[in-house]
Amino acid sequence: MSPALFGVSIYWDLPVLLVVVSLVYAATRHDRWDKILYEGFGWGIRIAGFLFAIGLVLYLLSTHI
Amino acid sequence: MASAPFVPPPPPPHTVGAGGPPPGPPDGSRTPPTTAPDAAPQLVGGVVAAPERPVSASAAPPAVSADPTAQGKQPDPAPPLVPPVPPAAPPTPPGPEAKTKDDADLPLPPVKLDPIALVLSYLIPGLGQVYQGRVGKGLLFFFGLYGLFFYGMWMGHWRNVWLPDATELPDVEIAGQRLGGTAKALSYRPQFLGQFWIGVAAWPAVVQYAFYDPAKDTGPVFGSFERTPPEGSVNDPPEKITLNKLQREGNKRWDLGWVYTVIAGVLNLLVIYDAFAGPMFREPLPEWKRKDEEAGW
Repeated sequence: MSPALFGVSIYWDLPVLLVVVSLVYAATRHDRWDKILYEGFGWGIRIAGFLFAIGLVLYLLSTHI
Repeated sequence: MASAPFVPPPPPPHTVGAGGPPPGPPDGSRTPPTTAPDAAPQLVGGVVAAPERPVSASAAPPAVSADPTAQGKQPDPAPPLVPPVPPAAPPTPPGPEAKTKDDADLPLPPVKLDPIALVLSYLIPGLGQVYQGRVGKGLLFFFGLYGLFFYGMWMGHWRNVWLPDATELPDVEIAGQRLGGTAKALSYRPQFLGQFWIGVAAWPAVVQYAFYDPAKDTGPVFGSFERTPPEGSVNDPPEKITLNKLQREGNKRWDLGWVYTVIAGVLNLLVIYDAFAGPMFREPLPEWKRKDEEAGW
């Protein structure tokens, strides 16, 4: 693992954004907590997957390609 | 060369114009009417004669030209020539998105708009929801959006939310119109268009813009909070925080910080709408269900 990953990196700030955006957006669509948490979890998974895919592509471009 | 044996032509697919009774046997007696629908058709002059009349409803319909009035007979009450109705398709099982019985049966009342909650949620995220009694959601919005907004400000060393004084800056034209005043300031700092919607947390920037004095390092009431940071020069002391230092010597956290503040402000637009008109997917409240049950619905 790159030591830079464990240092001060802007990537450690992303979970804050991910959690808040997922929960707040889901809460503007529903009033019931079970639906808010369910949809918020779904959005969190989708956003994290998208960010991971983008990060993986950038990593491969910068190291192996 | 022997000629090929005679082979009658195949019958046409439809029997048209085969009026009159079919020829009987040589002794003049009539054959009983054909009752079976699959009775073999009789070949008459190269065409297939239709059976006299189908008895059962499942038999084939009579020929078009078989007019009973032309033969001096009253038409018998024939069974209705209605094609059999195929059995109804079995009901499809409800999918995962199917609504429950309560959701489907209970009519929702019209949306009641709440302008007071709209203003409250603009001032402080979630305050309108608390005012409406949705305390949990209000607290989620409050801590979520204020947390995101101030976390972004912290990432930017508390120097990424401001509205610049643009009086000394070059003119800006959009569509042939020269901008002035606040529009010109916003053209130099469009991020504030998103940050503004966080509510009173962005008002210090408005106060700093309104009372900006370039001769001073701080503004009234709020000091240097949300004040336009100095641009900086090579002669600045190393401890002085300037815009050039923030943008050049950081690791992009300063830029990511203002992005967080903009996202928080734009998300509050959704929160404001939720306070004004409710969530996108509404649920019937328990008191509505009770009223419906009392009304016998």
